[in-house]
Amino acid sequence: MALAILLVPPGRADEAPIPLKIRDHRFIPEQLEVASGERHKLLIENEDETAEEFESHTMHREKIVPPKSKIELFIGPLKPGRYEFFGDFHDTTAQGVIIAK
Amino acid sequence: MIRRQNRRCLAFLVLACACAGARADPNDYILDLDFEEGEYELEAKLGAASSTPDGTPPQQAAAFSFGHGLSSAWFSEAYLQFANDVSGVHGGGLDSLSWENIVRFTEQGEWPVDLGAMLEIERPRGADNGVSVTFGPLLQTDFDLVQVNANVLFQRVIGGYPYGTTQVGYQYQVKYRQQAKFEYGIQGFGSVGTWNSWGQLGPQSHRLGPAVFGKFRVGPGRAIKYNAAFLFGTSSGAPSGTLRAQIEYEF
Repeated sequence: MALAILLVPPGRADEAPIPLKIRDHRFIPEQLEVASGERHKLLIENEDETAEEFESHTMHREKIVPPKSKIELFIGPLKPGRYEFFGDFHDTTAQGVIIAK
Repeated sequence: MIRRQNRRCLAFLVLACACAGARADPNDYILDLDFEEGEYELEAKLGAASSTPDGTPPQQAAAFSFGHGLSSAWFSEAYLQFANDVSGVHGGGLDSLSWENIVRFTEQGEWPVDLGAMLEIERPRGADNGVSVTFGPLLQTDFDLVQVNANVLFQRVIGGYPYGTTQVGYQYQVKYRQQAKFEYGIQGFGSVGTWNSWGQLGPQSHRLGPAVFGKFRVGPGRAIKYNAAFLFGTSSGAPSGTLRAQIEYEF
């Protein structure tokens, strides 16, 4: 029973993935809103010819997004607040924030 | 729950592993599940330990490694370990050659706890020392800005001392991710003896102490990471004090 509780993700919303695109080394949209206290799945689609690396220190996430590819990335549960992320390969333009409410 | 590529990694580990053991080197380090497909790493792992209450002399060790993220679920690393027994009884120099593999069975953050495993094959210097195989589960999770790691490691030496036994060890880490360049927490390492017959507490090796961590981005996709800890021995089989450090270049 204890193991089953451990394996069932608490607060996981049974929702569709949240889309996030990378185009011309920018995130689209640059700001996302999610419910706090729940786990969410981002579907990141890189439309560019080169790879990008989604990175966020506050969310403890770092993942390569190959060119012309999609990846899934789980975030949360997040407390209410702002969580910045950036593209490590093009950080001057690839910037974004997730707002948990 | 376990994706196809992760099942292949699991099969590799099961086939390649006969058994496993407890780390007890001054440059021991915490294994974690933070790696990426395609990344390369150059790393140095250093450590210096005082003598133990039960008479083991002071030791120093250094390891230099090269690693690569072969896939999103598999990181592999080879390293050379150099050790020095400060007493001079056992000499110094190249101590062993190792091949370490870490696999992730779950996608980071998909479940409350991330699950992975490690397999290491170590060939110590000296024909009589056999081959050491270390294997065990790796657990990692986050509570907001607090990251927790907990690992259990089993070790067995094939064709060398200690003969016919599987030793058990553990390691854990709790760190507060204050900011990318500076994080802090505690680390702990220990070994309890044979897996089915733990030794008395006294001779076991248990160490814990404060640790600092950080990462500096030095360019697109490149970074320098560090962590260091001072571990206090809490049993007679552990050094009274161990200073350990890692520095890593990712590219």
